[in-house]
Formats: sequence, C-alpha cells, structure tokens
Amino acid sequence: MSNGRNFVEAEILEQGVKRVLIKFPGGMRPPQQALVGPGSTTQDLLNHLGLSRDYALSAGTGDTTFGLSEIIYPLISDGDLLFATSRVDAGS
Amino acid sequence: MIFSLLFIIFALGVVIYFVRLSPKSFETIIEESLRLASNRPKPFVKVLPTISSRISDKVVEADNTPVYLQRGWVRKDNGYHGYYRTQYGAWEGAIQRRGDAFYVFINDPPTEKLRHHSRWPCFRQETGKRWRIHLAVNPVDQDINSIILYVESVIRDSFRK
Repeated sequence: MSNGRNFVEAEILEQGVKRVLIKFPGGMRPPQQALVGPGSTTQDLLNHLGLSRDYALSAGTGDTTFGLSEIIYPLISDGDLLFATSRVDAGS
Repeated sequence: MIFSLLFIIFALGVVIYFVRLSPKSFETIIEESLRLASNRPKPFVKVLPTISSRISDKVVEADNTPVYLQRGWVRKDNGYHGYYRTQYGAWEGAIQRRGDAFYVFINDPPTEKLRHHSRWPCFRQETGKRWRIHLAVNPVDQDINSIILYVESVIRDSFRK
C-alpha cells in the first residue's frame, strides 16, 4: 500500500500529473481514481475507463460537462471529483 | 552541333538530378514528420485499481450510493418517483421506461426560468401542472441516475442565465 502511494506521489511530482476521483452515479461501479497528465483529453480518460462516446464526464453540473476532444488537464485540479454519466439530452 | 549535344547532356543531367533528388527529399520530409510525431509525448492517463482494494482502515471510502437513492426516489407502479433537487429548489418528478425510451416528467417546473433555456422547446405541458421533458438522447445503459442529473443540470442552468 505504501509503495503504491509513493509511486503515485513520485509521478505527480515528476510529471505534474493530477489525481481525480471518478464516480459513477448509478452506483453499479465503484469509484475509481485516475491520474491525468498534461495534454489528456476527455476521450483519453473515457477510453482508459472502458467507456464509449455515449458517456460524458463532468464536474457535477451540466455546465461543467467536458467536451469529448477537450483537453481536460487544465480544467481540473489535483484531487477533483468527476462524474461519469451516460449521455442524456432533451430534444423534440 | 557539339554545343547542342553538350546542352542536351547537361539538360538530361539536370533532369536526372532533380528526379532523383525530389523523391528523396519527399521521403526525408515524411520520415522527419513521422519521427517528430512518434516523439510527441502521448498524454499520460492511468486508471488506478478500484479504491476499495487499495484502501486502508484509516481512509474513508467514497460514497457509492446511486443518485436516485440519495435523492430519495422510489420505484412505484411502472417507474420511479421523486424530486429533482437543486440549490434553487426541489421539483417533483417521475421517470417511466417504455422499451428503450424514457418518459421524463416534472411537476410545476420553474417555467419563468426555463423558458430562456435552450431546451425549453422540449418541455411539453401534459395535464395540469404535469410537464413532460422529451428526450432525444436516452442513456445507453438505461441508467435513470443520468436522467435525474441531467434534469437537475437543466434547472440549475436556467437559474444561472
């Protein structure tokens, strides 16, 4: 456990990697911690989570939903909580 | 005659030189581009193993309660009933599943705020205070929690505009 922790901290220090906790509101999947490096897009993170383009990442509110090709790195802070939800949109 | 012959030989030499040089230059450019592309650092992303398997006794485990339970929604009849909760208020609603599509309802929504929202045309008044929100994109995993969060985000956005 301590080795794993030191490994993460070393990476953060060396590469400016940010840690985020990703929650799945449905509760069907336990929250997962991810490391996000400079230049990472939402799509990169979704791919690593095994989620398709039918899912969205947000910081919890509708106006903080990240675009798929958006570079997410500068938009998040170390320790942020993100939500992975399946895409929903209203329309006639 | 000799000058013409020399000129032709010279011209052929020039042509051969450029014909040989051009593809080589092109290949060089391609190789250089590929080399630069491969050298471009790939974004670092790593998903760590599930927290519960790494967690110690001293760390509080992240809450994994589904949103619909957190919001107090209950399953009744052929759907879910509860309140869309935001910092601006709570509105009673219901979500019914019919096949792969969801029928989303909200009672007495904040129409004065919502009418300025881009999704206002998707709100249709049904009977009395009951409104239906027409979904164009249904959650691919049939997760009603995503719908609850979406409706709440639309309400929140409408108050912020």
